[in-house]
Amino acid sequence: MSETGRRGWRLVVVAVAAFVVVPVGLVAVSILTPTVEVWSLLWRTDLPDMLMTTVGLLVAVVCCTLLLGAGLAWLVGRYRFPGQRWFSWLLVLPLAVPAYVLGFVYLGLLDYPGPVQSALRGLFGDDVWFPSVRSLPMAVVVLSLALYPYVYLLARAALTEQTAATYEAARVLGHGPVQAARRVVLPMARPSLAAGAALVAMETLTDFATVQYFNVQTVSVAVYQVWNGMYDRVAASEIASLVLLFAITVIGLERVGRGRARFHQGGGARAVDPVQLRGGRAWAATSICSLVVAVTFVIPVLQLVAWSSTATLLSSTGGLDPRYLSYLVNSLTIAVLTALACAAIAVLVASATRLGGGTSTRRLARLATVGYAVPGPVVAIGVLAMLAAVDSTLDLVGLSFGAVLVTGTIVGLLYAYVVRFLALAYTSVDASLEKVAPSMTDAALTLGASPRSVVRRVHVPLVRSGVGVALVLVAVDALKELPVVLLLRPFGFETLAIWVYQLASESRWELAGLPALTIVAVAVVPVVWLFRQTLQLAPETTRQDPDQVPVRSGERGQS
Amino acid sequence: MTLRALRALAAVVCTTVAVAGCSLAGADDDVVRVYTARHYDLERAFEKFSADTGVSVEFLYGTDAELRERIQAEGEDTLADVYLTVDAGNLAAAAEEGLFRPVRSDVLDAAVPKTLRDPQDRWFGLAERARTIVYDPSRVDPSQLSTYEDLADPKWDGRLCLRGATETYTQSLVASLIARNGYADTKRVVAGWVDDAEIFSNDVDLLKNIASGDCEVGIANHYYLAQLLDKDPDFPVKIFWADQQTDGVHINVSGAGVTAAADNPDLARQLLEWLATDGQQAFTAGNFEYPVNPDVAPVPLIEGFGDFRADKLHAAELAQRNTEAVRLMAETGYE
Amino acid sequence: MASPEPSVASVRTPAPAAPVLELREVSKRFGGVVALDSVRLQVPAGELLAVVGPSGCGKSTMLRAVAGLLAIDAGQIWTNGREVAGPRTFVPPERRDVGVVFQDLALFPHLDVAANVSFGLQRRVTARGRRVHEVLELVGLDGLGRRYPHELSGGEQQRVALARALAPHPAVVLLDEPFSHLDRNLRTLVREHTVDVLHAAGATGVFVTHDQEEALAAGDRVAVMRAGSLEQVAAPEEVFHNPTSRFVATFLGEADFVAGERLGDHAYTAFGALPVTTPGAGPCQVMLRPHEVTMEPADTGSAVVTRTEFRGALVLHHVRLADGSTLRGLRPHTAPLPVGTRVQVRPLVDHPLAVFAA
Repeated sequence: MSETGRRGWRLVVVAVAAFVVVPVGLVAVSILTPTVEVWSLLWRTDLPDMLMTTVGLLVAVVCCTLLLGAGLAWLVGRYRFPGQRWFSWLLVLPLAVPAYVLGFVYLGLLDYPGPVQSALRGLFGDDVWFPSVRSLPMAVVVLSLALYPYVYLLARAALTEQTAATYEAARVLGHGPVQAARRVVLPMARPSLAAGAALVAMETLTDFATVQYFNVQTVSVAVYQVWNGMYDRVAASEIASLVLLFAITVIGLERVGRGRARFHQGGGARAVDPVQLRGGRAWAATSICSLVVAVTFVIPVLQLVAWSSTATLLSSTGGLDPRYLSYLVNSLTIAVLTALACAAIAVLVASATRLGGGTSTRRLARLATVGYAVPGPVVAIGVLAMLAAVDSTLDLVGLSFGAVLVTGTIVGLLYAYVVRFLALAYTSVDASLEKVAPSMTDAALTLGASPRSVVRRVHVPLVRSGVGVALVLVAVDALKELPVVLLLRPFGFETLAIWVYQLASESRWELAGLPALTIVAVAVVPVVWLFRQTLQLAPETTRQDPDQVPVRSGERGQS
Repeated sequence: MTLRALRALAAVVCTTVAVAGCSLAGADDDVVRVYTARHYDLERAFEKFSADTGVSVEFLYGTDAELRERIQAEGEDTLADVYLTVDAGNLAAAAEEGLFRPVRSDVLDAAVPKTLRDPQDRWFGLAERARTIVYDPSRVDPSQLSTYEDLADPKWDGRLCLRGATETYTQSLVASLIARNGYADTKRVVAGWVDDAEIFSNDVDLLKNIASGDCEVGIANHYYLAQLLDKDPDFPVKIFWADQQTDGVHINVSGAGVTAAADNPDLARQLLEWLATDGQQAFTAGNFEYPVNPDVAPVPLIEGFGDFRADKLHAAELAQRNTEAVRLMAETGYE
Repeated sequence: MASPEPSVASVRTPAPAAPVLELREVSKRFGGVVALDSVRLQVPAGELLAVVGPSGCGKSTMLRAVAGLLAIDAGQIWTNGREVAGPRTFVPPERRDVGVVFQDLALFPHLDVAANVSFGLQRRVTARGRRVHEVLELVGLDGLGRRYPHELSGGEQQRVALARALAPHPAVVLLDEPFSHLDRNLRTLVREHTVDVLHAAGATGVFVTHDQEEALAAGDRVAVMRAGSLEQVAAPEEVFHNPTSRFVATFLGEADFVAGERLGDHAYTAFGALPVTTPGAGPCQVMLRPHEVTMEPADTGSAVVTRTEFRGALVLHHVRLADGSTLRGLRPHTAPLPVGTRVQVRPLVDHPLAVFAA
C-alpha cells in the first residue's frame, strides 16, 4: 500500500514520534549550550577513562552475551541431550531476574566476607588469591549473565525459522556441520543476533545500579555524579546526551549488522532434525546448561529465599508487611497498563507506517523507538520538564488541574514508560506485520474495508503473536524498572521495585529479599509464556499453515 | 482478544486518571506531606507525631536530586510541604533553587545549633552523623590512628577501604577538608588515600570487609557500625574519632525545610519543631544518629562510642564546597 | 506501406455505449521508468479482458492503478461512468467498487472461508449469509465455509479468493496472475473454472498474465502490452492471426517471416503470390506460423531440415531455406523427417496472411 499514502496515517506516525521524541529532545538540546567548566573538567579527568570503560563494557558484554546466547541456542536447538527440552525454556528464566538483583546477590556471595571467599580462606588459608570482585570483568560477567536471554530468545527463534533445506544444501555442498553453521546458519541468523546484541547494548548502556555495585564508571554513572554531586542538572543532561550518542551508534551498528539482505524464509518448510548427543558429549552439554541455569537463576533465587526467610524470622511484628500486597498490585497495574499502551501504540504505528507509505514515514517510526536507548532518569526528567511546561501553560490560560498532569496521577509515569519501552513493543509488532504480505492489506481495502477497519479486522488479528511478545517484554521490563517510577510515581503509589531499591540502598538485603523474589516470581510467568509462544508453538503453526499462507512478496517469485 | 484489551485499556486509564485525580487534587487540612530522601524507620517517628498532635503525615521516598527536580517541576501544585534529606549539600541546593521558604520559629532557633541550620532559616539540621575512622582492632593499634589526612600516608597502602566518590558522604567529607586545608593540600591527601585503596559503594560492605580481614582501616558513618553492632555485639570493628587533636571529626546532618509552595506551611513548621524537640528521640534513635538538640541524649549504643569533638564548620559551607570536592576527586582519579 | 493503426482503432469498433471500465491516457512513471504510457482502454460490461505482456511491461501496474492501490500521474480512470482517478480525483481502493484476486491470493489466514468471503459484505447478517452461500455455491465450495485457508488445496484456495472478490458484486473484478502459483495441469482446470464462474456471475473482469496461451484461451478479448503501452486489443483470433505488430505476432506464438513485395492484396515472395490481410505496396514481411507451413521430402527441394522438436501429436521441424533464412513447420508424429532431409516447403494459403512493412 505504499504507493497511495494517506496523509492522516502519516500524521499518526508523526504524532507518536513527536510524543516520544520531545521529552528526550528536551534533554538532548542541552548539549547545544555546553557548560564549558564541567566538560573541561571531565575531559581533563574522568571522561577519557569513562568513555573507554563504557566502550569496553559494551563490547565485552555484547560479545559475551552473543557467545553465550547464540551458543546455548545452537546447543539446545540443534542437539538432543538429557534435559534438553527443559533447558530450552529454563534458559530464558534469567530474563525475570533484574540485573541489579543478580548484581547484589553475586556481590554478596563473592565478596571478601562472602561465603565463597570465606570457604576458600578456610580451605587454603588467608592468602588465597581471588579475582577482584569490584571490577570491570565482574561487571561484565554479571551483566552478561543477566542479559544473555535477549540474544538466546532471538537466536533460538531464528534457528527455529531456518529451514532444513538451506542447512542441508550447505552440507551437500561439502561443508561439515561447523562450517555449515558458520557459513550459512550464522549469517542467516545475523539480523536476529544483531537485534539481540542491540537490546543487550542498550540495557548495558542505561544500567546504573549494577555498574555502581562493581565500581565501574560508565557515562551513565557520570550523569548521576554530576547531577547529585555538583547539583548541576544542565551539565548532567549534557552528559546524558552523550549516552544518547552512544545509543544512536548502537542503533546504527545494528542496522549495519542486519545488512541489506532480507533473511526471512517463506515459513513452513521442515526444520533441521536435532542431532542426538551421546556419552561424554551429552553430559558436557547437560552440565553446561545446568551451570548456566544454576548461576543465573537458581542461586540468586535461593539467596533471595534465604534472605526472605531470615527476615521473617527477625521481624518483630512477624508475618507479611501489610503494605506488601498494595505494592504488588501497584507494580502489576503499572506493568500491565504500560504493556497495553505500548502494544496499542505499536500496532497503530506499524499499521500507520504501512497505510501511510513512504520511506520517511518508516524512518519516523524508527525514531519513535529512540527512548529505549535513553537511560530511565533522563526520560523521567524529560517527561517531568515537558509536563511541567504543559501544566504551567494550562495554568496560564486558567485551566488548572492541580498537580494532575505532572505527578498527580500515573499518567506521567505511564507516559515515561511508553517513551522508554515503545521500542520493545514496536520491534515485535513490526516484525510480525512484516510477515503479513502487503497484499493482505490491499485485499482488505479493495473489499471495501476502511483503513481503520483494516487495522482492526486484519492487522490486529494477524500480528497477535507479535502483540503477545510485545506485552510480555514490556510488562517484564516495566515490572523491573526503577529510576522512572522513583521519580514520577504519584504520591502514595509505591511499587515492589521501589521497595527493593529503598531497602537495598540501606544494605538491608534481608528485607529486600521478599519483594525482589516477588518481582522474579511475577516476571517468570509471562517469560515462560513468551517462550512457549515464540518457540514451541512456532513449528506447529508452520506445520499447520503450509506455504500457501502468503509471505511478504519479494521473498517469493514475482511476475 | 487484543482489541477488547485495547478498549479495556482506554477505560482503565480514564478511570485511573479520574480516581487518582480526585483523590489527590485537594489538599487536606490535617495532613502534612513530606518528600524524603531519608528513610530509616521514618514511619515510626511520623506515627508518633500523629499520635502526639493529631496531624497525620504522608511521605514519598526518593533520591535527593530527583526529589528536588520533582518539587521544581510540580511548582505551585506540589504536594510537598516538607523536603527532608540527608546531607547539608542537598539542603543548601534546595534552598539555592528557591524550593524552601524561611521559617521563623523560636522553638527551632532554640533546639538546633546555629552551625547546623541555614543562616536564612530556610532549612534545619535535625540529626547528626559523624564520618570517622573505623578499624580492625586485631590488626590496627588505635595509637597508629590520628587524622583523616594521616590515612594518606604510605603506611596505609593496601590496608585502606573507602566509599565511592559518587556518594554524598564522601563528597561532604572532602568538602570539609578543602574548607580546612585548601584545595591543593586536600588534593594531595585524597591522592594519598586512593593510592592502593579498595572502593565500596556502601558503608556496610566496607565495614564487613574490614571485619572479615579484607582491609584494616576505613572511613565510615558512625551509625552503620552501630547498626551492625546492634545486630551482632561482637562485630569486630571499632570506631576511632578522627582529628580530636585538631579541628574535630567531620559532621553532617539530616535536615528539612518547608517548601515554598507548601499548602500547609504551619503544619509543616509544627512537624519540624516536633522533630527538633519531642520527636528528636524517635527521629534519631532508630538510625543511631546523634540528636542535634543538646537537651536530648543519644541512644546508649552510640553513647558507648564515647564523646568526641565535632568539627565546627558550618553545614552551609560544606554545601558550597561540594562541587569543588567532586572536581578534586575527579582530578585525583578517585572513583 | 503504412504500419497498422494503433490498437485503439480495433477497440472502438465493438465498444457499446457505456464501458464499465475506461482508462483515458493513463500514465504512471516510477522515477525514470515509464510504467504506463498514455494507456487508453475500454472494457464493456460482462467482458473478460486478458492483459498479456512480458515481465515488467506495466500490466500489474495498470491493475493496481485501477484498483486504487497506486496513484496515477496523468489521465483518468472511470468505472461505471464515475471518475475514480484523475488529475484532481483519487478514490481510495475501499470505495472503488472493484474486486481483486491477488497473485498470492492474500486469503486472511485468521478467518475461515465463510468469513473471508463475507469480509467485503455489509453487516446485515441474514443477507450476508445468503450471499456467502450463493458465492460459495457458484465457485463450487459449498459446505467448506468453516474450513480455514490452510486446510484447503491450492485450487480451492484460488476459488475462495475468487468468491471473496465476487461477493460484494464489484463493478470490475481484477485478477493479477491468479493462476501462476498452480502447477500446469491444475492451472488449466482452475482457469476454465474461473472463466465459467466469471461468466456465470456476469462479471466484468480484467486479468493479467504473462502466459500467452492463457490469455488466448481465457480472454474474451486480449490486450497485448509492451513497455507501458497497449500494442493491440482485440479478440483472441484477431490478435493471433492478424497481429498489428511483429512484437504481438511473436509474443503470442511461434512466427516466422518471409520477405516479399506487396502489391494490392497480395505479396510476392519466394513461394509465389500469397494473399495478405492488409493491402498495400512496397517491400514487406509476411508472417507464417508453423501450422501454416507444409513440407514434403524432395531431392530437388531447396530447403534442408536442420532440427526437429517432438511435441506429442506433432513434430516441429526447423528448415533452412536457400536464402539462409529459417522457417518452422509442423508434421504429424507419424511422419517425421530426419535432420538433413531435403524438402520442398509450401505455405498453406487458405486464408490471408498477416503482413508487415519491411
